Amino acid sequence: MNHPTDLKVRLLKWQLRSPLGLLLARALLAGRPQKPHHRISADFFMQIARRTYTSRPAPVVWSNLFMPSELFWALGITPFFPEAWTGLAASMGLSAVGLTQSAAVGYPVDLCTVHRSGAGLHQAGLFPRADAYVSTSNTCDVAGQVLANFAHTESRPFFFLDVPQTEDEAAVDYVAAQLQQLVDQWTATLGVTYDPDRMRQTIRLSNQARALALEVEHLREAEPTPLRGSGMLDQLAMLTSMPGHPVGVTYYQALLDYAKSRLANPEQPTQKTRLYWMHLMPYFQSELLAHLEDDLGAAIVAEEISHVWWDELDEVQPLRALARKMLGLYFNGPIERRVNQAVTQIARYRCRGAVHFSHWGCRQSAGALHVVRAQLRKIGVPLLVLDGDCIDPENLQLGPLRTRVDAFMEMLT
Amino acid sequence: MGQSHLRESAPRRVGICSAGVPRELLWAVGCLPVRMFPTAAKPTPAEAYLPRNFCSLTRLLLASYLEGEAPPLDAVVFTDEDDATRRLHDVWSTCVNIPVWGFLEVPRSGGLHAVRRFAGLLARLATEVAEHTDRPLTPARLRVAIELFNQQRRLLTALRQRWLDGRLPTPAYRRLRRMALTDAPESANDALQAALDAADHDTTASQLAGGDSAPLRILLLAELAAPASLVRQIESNGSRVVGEVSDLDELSVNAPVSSDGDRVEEMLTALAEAYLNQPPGPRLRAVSQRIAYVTHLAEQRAAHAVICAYSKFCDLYLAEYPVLRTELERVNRPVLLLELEDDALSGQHRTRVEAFLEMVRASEPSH
Repeated sequence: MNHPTDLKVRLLKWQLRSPLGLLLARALLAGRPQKPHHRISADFFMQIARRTYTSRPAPVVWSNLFMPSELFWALGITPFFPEAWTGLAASMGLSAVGLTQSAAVGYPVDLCTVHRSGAGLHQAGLFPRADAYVSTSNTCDVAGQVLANFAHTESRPFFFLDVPQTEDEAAVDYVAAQLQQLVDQWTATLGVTYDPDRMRQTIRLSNQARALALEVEHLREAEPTPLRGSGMLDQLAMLTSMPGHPVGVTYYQALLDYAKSRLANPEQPTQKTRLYWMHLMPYFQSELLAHLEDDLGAAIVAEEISHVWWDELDEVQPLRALARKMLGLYFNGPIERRVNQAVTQIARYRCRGAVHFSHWGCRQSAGALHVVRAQLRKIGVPLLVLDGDCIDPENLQLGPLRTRVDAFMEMLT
Repeated sequence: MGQSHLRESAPRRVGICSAGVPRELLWAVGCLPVRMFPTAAKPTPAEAYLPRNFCSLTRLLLASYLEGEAPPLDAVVFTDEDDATRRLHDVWSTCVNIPVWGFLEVPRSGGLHAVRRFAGLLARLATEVAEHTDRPLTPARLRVAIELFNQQRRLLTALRQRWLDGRLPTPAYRRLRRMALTDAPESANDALQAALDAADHDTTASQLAGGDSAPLRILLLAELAAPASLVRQIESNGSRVVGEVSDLDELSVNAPVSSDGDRVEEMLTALAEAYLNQPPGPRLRAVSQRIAYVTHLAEQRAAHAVICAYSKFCDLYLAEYPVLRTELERVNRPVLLLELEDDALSGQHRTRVEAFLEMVRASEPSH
C-alpha cells in the first residue's frame, strides 16, 4: 500500500501538470480570504506554474534567486527559481519528500536544506523541466553548484555568471559583458530574441515597482508600524521575481494601498519593542513568529531581505544597470555591507534590537555574525541569533528558541 | 640564481589560502608567498568566531593562527575562493593579529573578459602589496619570478613522474610538494633538484610501488590536501595512491607560464591566463569539464577507485559530489566519500576506508 506522502506527491504531480489541476488550485485559492496583494502574488505564481509545468509557451530557465528578473521578462523567458519554490513546498509540508530524495541521490546531509530539498523535489518529479540553467556566483556557493549539476545531468545549457565582490566601474564592465554573453547564448540556444524596446519597457516596469516598494518601506517607519513583519518575510520571492513584469507594479501598488489602509489600524495591535530581522524565517508552519509578535509584543518593522537594495535602473544602458543591481546586493562583498545596511535600517526604523535567523547550512549568512554582533553592539543594539531551519521542521527546536526569544525580549524591555 | 641583485631585502612572508593567487607576483614585489596549512589539531578555538557548522578546513586554519602555532606571517592576502574564505576574511582582522594586505578576486572562468579583468586585478594587488614592501613591480622582477616558478614547475613535474614510476615514496613526494608551496622558491628548487637527483640514482626504486605486484590504485580528491593519515592507511594496506586532485598537487598551474614581452601588462596577462586555466576545481561550476578531467586522470593513472577526502561542511565539494560519484561509477570507478573534521582519521573513517578497499579488491578480477 502506498504511503500517504506518496499519494500526496502523486496528486500534486498531477495537479501541477494538468491545466485542470491548476485551475482547481486557483479556484481554491480564490475562495480563501486573502489580502489583495496576496491574491496578486498567488495569481502570479500560479501563472508561472502554468507556464512552466503545462503550457510552456516560452522557454523555461531555472535560476538562483539573484539573477535580475528583468532579463528573463525582457527576453520572454519564464524563470523558475527553485529556492523560492522550495520555500513554497516547505509551507505545503513537502520538505521531507525533498530531503529524503536528495539523500537518496547522494547529497550529503550537512548541505543547506533549501538546496537539498530543491534537488530532492526535482528528483521526485515535482519541479518542471528546464530548457536551460543559469546562476550567479555571489551570495551562495551551493545554489550554482546544484544548478550546474542538473544542467550536466540533463545535458542542458548552463551559464555561470561571475559576480565580483567589488562595486567599481571595472566590475560593472565585467558583469555587463557577461550579461551580453548570456543574452547571446540564450538567443542562440533558446530561440528568444533581444528587443531593445521590450528591454526598455521592462526596465520602466521594474523602476515603477521599485518606487512603490520604496513607498511601502517608508510607510513602515510609522509608529505603530502598519504591517506585521512576519507577513513580510516572504518578500524576497517578490523582490527577486517580479521586477520587470507588469504584475510587479500591480503587486506593489496593492501592497502600498493596503499598508496605507492599515496605518490607523495596524495589523499587529500590540507593539512594545521594534526589531530588525536579518536573513530568512521558517517557511513551514511554526509558532516562533506568532510567539514573538503576539505573546511578546515584538514588532518586526524592517527585514533585511525585503529592503530594495538597488538604485533606479538606467533604461539607456540596461545591461550595465542590471550589472549594478547585482553588484550592489548587500550579501555580496565584505560583511561590512550587511552591517552598514543593518545600521542604517536600525536607525531609520528606530529598532531596539536585531534578530538573525541563522538557517542551517547557510554559511555565507551565518559565517561572520561575530562581526555583525560587535558592530551592532557599538550602536547599542543587541543581536539575537536564532539557529534554525527554513525548510526542515525537524531541525527547528521550538522550545529552546522560545526561551532565548523570551530572555532577549525581557532584556530589551 | 644569478638574479640575486634584484632582491634588495629579505622577503616578507605573506600567507595565501587559494591556488588562484599567482605566487610569482607576490615574489616579484618582495614577498614570500606561503600557502597556509592548518597546524591546529582541533578547530575548537575558531568556534568563537565562526559557526560550528562551518567548513572545518577554514575553522582549522583560523584555529591555527589563533593558537599562534602556525608558521609566522607578516601579512595575508585573501581571495573570494568560496563563501567560507570570504567569511574568514571578514572575521580575520577582528581576531588575528596579522594584517591583510590585499583581497584578490579570482574570476571563475578562463574566458577573454575574465583574463583581462584578472590581469587588471593582479596589477592592483601588486601595487597594494608593494606599498608595504617598498618594492614596486617591474618587468625584470616579474620575469625573474616567473622563470623561478617555471623552474619549480618543471622540477615538480619530473618528481611527479618519478613518484608515479615508483622511484619516490608517496609521503616524500607529498612533503616536497608542500615544501614548494611554503618555502622560498630558490631554496625549494634546490631541494627539489636534490630529491630528483636522489630518485634518479636510487636503485631500490621499483620496490616502492606497493607490497604486491599489482596493488590497488587509488585516486584521491581533496581541497587543500588529503590527510597524511589517509595516505598512510591506503598505502599500508597494500594499495597505492596514484594521483591527488587537490591544491597540493594536480589543481595547480603545471605548465610553464610565458615570461615573454617587455611590459608588465603582457606578463600579467600570461599569468592571468595560466591561473584561470588551471585544472578545474568545483569553484568554476564547470561540472562537465571537471568530470571529464577527473575521469580522464583516473583512466590515465589506471586508478581502480576514488576516495573523496573532503572537509566537513565544505559546500562546494560536497554539493558537487553526487554527480561526480555517478559519473565515476559509470566508468567503473567506485567512490568513497569521507567528511573530515580535521587531519586525523577517526576509527569510523578507518573502518570505512578498509571496508572500501576490500570491496574494491574483491570486485577487481586481478586482485
